[in-house]
Amino acid sequence: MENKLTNILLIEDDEVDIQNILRAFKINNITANLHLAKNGKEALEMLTGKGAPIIKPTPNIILLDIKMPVMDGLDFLKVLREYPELKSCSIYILTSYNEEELKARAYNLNVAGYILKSSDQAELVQKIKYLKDYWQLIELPNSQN
Amino acid sequence: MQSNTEAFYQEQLKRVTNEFEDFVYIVSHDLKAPIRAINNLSVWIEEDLGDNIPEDVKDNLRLLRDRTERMEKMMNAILQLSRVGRYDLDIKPVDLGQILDEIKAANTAEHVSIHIHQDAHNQLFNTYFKKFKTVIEELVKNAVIHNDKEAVEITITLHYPENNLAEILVSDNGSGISAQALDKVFDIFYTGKSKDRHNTVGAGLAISKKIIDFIGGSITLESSENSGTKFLIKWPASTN
Repeated sequence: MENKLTNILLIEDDEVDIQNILRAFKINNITANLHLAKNGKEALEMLTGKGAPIIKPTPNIILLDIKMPVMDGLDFLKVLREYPELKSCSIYILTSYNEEELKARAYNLNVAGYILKSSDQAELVQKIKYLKDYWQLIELPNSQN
Repeated sequence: MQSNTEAFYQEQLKRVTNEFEDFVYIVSHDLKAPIRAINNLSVWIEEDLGDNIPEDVKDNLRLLRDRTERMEKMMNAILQLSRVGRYDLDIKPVDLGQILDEIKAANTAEHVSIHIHQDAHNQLFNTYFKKFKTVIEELVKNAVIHNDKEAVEITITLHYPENNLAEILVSDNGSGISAQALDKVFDIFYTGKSKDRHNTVGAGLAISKKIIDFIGGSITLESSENSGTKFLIKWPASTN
């Protein structure tokens, strides 16, 4: 996992949620660099290098909140899918909204998974552990760019 | 003309219903998130301070968490209260005595004994069985909380006089309720005991009363200090 999964991008605006996720990463000994964007627009800038320093290699894994200011998660996804060079990013929705309509829209935009963000820390640690195990199991493409 | 008026009220009703749904969603989701955040922050402060936290700081952190938990429970209670007319609406013919037996079987507290007497064996009542269970469970919970005896004794009597009202008497050997408090016990968030010492927010009886009003029954109580409490419920034997 370590050589392929160098960069993870977290797109999340709530400071407490960010801290909760960071702590869950730390407890699970995830060593990949975690980059942070506060909304969809910031994330696009970091992925394309237009308006912010580009993240290299491109993160294979993106954790995406839905409700965010400026550009929300689903709008970000729609725009992201228009960039051929970003097609191979696996996007995991991490939201507290357990709504059928949002799930349907997210999967229509080809997310790799829709995960409910637990505010209970122990629960979140367990969910991040499952993700880590899954990322160790699957083969990810090596970023060429 | 008449159908216009009807359409107008239908529209109004739809709007009010939607507003209500939005409100419930806001309470259940949006307001809970910051409470959980406060709770998490207090845990992290404690973790980050490490081993050398003064006792009074520890106590205050514990109180902070305790109060956020209470607030969440109070929100859940308001939600449950507001949803009485909209949830658990399944009706089927059930043996109420069997539901009482299930409640007795589910009791795992060794100091609590539940005795059941009934004269309605195998009598089927076409009713909101989930709501019936909720009410009896809340009364049992209430009897356990407001009890100062080492051995808690709860007796539930189910009587069916065949006049379309089943009578359920729930009595306990607890500390009883003072005369001044009798008319407050069904108020939401009223508790006769300290909320700190007992894990309660004082919503169970309010929810029970609302359920019983909803189904068209009645609940009355008899109690005085140190003589235990008796709740008498009249539950319609059939709901159409």
